[in-house]
Amino acid sequence: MAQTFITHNDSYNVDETFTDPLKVIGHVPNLVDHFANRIVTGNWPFAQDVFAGQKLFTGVQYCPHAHATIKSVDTSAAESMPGVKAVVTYREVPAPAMPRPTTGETSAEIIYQGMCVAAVAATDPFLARAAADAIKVEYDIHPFVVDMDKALEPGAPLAVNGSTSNSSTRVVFNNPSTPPATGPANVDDAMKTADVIIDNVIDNEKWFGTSWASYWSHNTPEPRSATVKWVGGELWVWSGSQNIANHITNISRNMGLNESNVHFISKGCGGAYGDRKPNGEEAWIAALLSKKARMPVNCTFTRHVNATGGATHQGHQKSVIKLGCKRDGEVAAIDAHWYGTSGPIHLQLTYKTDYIRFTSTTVTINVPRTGPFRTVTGMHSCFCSDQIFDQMAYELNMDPYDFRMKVAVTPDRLDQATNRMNGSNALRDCLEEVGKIFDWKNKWAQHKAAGGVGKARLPDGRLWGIGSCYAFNEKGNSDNNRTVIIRVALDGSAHLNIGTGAASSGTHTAVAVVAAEALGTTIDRVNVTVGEAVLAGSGGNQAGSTGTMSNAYGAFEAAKKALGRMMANAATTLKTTTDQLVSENGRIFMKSDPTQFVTHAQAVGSLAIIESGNGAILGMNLKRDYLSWRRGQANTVRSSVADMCEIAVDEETGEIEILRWDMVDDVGRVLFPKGVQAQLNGGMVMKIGVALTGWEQLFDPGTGATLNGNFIDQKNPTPLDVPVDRITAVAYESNNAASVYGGIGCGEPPVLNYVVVHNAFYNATGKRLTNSVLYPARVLAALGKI
Amino acid sequence: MTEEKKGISRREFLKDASLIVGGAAVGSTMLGTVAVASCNNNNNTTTSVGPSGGGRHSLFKVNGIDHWVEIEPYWSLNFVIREKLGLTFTKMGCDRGECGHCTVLVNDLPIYSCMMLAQDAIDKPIETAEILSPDLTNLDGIAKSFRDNAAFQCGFCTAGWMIATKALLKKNPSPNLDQVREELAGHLCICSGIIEICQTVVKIGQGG
Repeated sequence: MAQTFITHNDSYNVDETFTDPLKVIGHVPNLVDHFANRIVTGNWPFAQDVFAGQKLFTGVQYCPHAHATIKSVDTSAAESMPGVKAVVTYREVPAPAMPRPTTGETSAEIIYQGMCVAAVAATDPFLARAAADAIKVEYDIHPFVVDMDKALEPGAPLAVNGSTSNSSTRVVFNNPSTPPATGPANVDDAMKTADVIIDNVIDNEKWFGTSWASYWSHNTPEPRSATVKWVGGELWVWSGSQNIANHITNISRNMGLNESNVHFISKGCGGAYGDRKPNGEEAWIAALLSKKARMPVNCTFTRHVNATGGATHQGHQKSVIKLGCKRDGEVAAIDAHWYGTSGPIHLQLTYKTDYIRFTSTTVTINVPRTGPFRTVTGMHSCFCSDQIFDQMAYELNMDPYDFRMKVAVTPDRLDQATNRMNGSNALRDCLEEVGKIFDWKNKWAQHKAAGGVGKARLPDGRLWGIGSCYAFNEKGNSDNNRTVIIRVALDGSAHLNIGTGAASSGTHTAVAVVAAEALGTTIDRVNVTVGEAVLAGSGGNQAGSTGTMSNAYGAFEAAKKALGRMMANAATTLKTTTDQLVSENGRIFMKSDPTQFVTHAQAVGSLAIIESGNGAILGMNLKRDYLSWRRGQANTVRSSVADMCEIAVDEETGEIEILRWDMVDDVGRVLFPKGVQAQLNGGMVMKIGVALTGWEQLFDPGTGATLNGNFIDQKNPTPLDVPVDRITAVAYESNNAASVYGGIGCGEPPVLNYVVVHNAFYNATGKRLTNSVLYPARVLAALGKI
Repeated sequence: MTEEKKGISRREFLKDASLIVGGAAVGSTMLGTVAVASCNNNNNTTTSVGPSGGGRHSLFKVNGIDHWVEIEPYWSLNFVIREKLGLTFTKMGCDRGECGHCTVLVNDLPIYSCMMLAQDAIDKPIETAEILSPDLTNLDGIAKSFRDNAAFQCGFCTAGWMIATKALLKKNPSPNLDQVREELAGHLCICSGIIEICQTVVKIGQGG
């Protein structure tokens, strides 16, 4: 697959800051060696790698029940086993207790299988697990519910003792909030003006208007793990997360420490999507054990528990949508209700109408809470939104491409959720571009000529279908930019320290590229340290695909502050004013005469010694709202993505083969080409996993236990599942400059549109599959074969 | 160098270690006393690690270096490589033979080290990902290609893919894409670098 980018210079949202010819941005061919070499080789330190040969290992007694109360814990057998150095139980956690705190939950209540009850530290992990298994726990077992629909039924067991209901409902928004001067007064009136209405009932197997998104575990390749060491009264923690600041808070509260006495170091972060750990139990379990044993301790969750109770998850989501359209495709109104087992729930707001009502019901069941994930719950939200719009195109006898083009929001529209201007035409642009790559119009015509929906077949007899989809991704609206310190040394080289957890080598390089560009130096003169919040202060959460955006803001601002001081020094030396100077390639020179210059090292020189006394100039940027940064008007920061897919469906086996899958993703400006391409391709693979390979967590309705807490039965894609040469992922540069140098990140959008397979499946078979994972058995059932 | 000693005591081990290797450095760590020593012995470097008490004194030939380690019969090869030899480039992902992150080569064959008992690897040539990068500025061709083609993201699974690639290329120096997908199917990358990885391995085989 060739690496190609589509550049589209819009006239909107262009800040003059970003229009200068860029020297580093987009021009760095490879990952920067000193970051990449450590990561690619395996030298990059993950939590398990710290204190090799010098630490104890943890075995954890996990609760096997979905809902129970702990009556007693007997650790005596474990304490007498060989190699055991320390034992702790949930009772010893200062506050709150090991079973995780949620509203209405008591300290001894288990609310899902896999909660930690007690733990052992021993000289090897095998002894530790054996000792943990020897801990005897007595429970009062309570009724449980692990099915979202069942949890809503009258008389359903309460997932949490003492609560009065398993659900709560709220109106997220109901637009227009006040009746307009002309036209329908509200959603109900607007719906009456529709020529075609797709309504639905809550019956997810029979009605396409309702989509059921499966529950699945983050199940990161690096299991949740923390290694800790006490140094006096201070706790040092090595663990992988992009959410350092919150974990410091969490650990300090649980351990009764000042936050300033917790050092959280996150270098390696395996499967680095977001927080990865809702409560960080592994860190404070290790900390308790380490305090007793007076040795470094590693706590690593087993694979089963990592998938069951220890990791973050995409929760169940279900949509119930009523959609009304005019005969020409104009959207009259959308009335949407979402059900979800927790976490943020979104309605895709890609569709142009003023009449949208969105209500949501959060349902509590006895499974682990949803936590930060790649796109959080965005991909499921997209899945739940899109099929009904795709279906509407068929109901209107329109080409889905034409329908999507007609209803896509335009830059002049107010975003229905944020009341900010949408500001971008990239949604339509991405669809248009992917349509060209895919050759949609020709394929659509060929498909119709071959019989159309449910009838077109390939020469080998299999059903043939094509599908399209587009989506928005909010880019870090919930978060601010990073705290960044830059140190420009006496030799002119620069070192950035960023208060956020590690993500991948691409992040390092992207941030280094921005800093080099802002400082006017070369990429080899910039180094970046991440994952040491103790140095950089609070870094905030990196969830929401904010890695590039938020880190780049901080890097840009810090670099510019340092450069400003260097420029002032240079101006004195060159006997001019700073507005007559420019910084490039590590030199500050006269615009009128480039032969008149000082090097960055010379510019730092005396100033550094005078001002900081440590041989360096410091620049620092603190967190602040970037939505209004350098902007006359705060726009909603979104990126758009469009997918098209072609599949073959085998009616005898239920297998779906991807014949082709194309995607165009708006990334703003490409800061680092290879990093962008890798993110886009990674998203394509993840979508294949969600739609096709069985990345879905299944619960035993009889016990509430997870049935497939592993990589085999809850299957991530392997190379055999990925048709490498049939995938095209293209970055679209919209110049939608809502970010520093226009880069708006690309971690989340590429994974959104797995529903494009479902849309192609309808095109092939005439059947809507409302469950997110297209198992052969589900396919055969949908086709009436079994 | 294939002699195996069973039931050697901690005292006897330390005595042996100091006799075997001149200038042995014996230090105290939190796990107990650990002897780490090196010498030039027929151009090989020998290290001795242990004891934790009552284990089996065994030879592990890793990356061309002989290591004497006192092992327990239930230890996995992964545990010995990472925790006794300190070779942490090899990761531990699932501990149940599903993800491929812990892959090492034993007799040139890619093996899930989490699924192999250490005692079954005694005296067999073992290669870990460390062999692909003698130092961080001197990467082997495979590691360099993975780096330059961005065939990794978080890096947790990468060592497993790369060492398996070494075995693949030894068996088939110029694999096509389908052969790469087939041979490396025992590996997961959730970030996911699968596309870049497969393309990179093909490219390496083509001399790129």
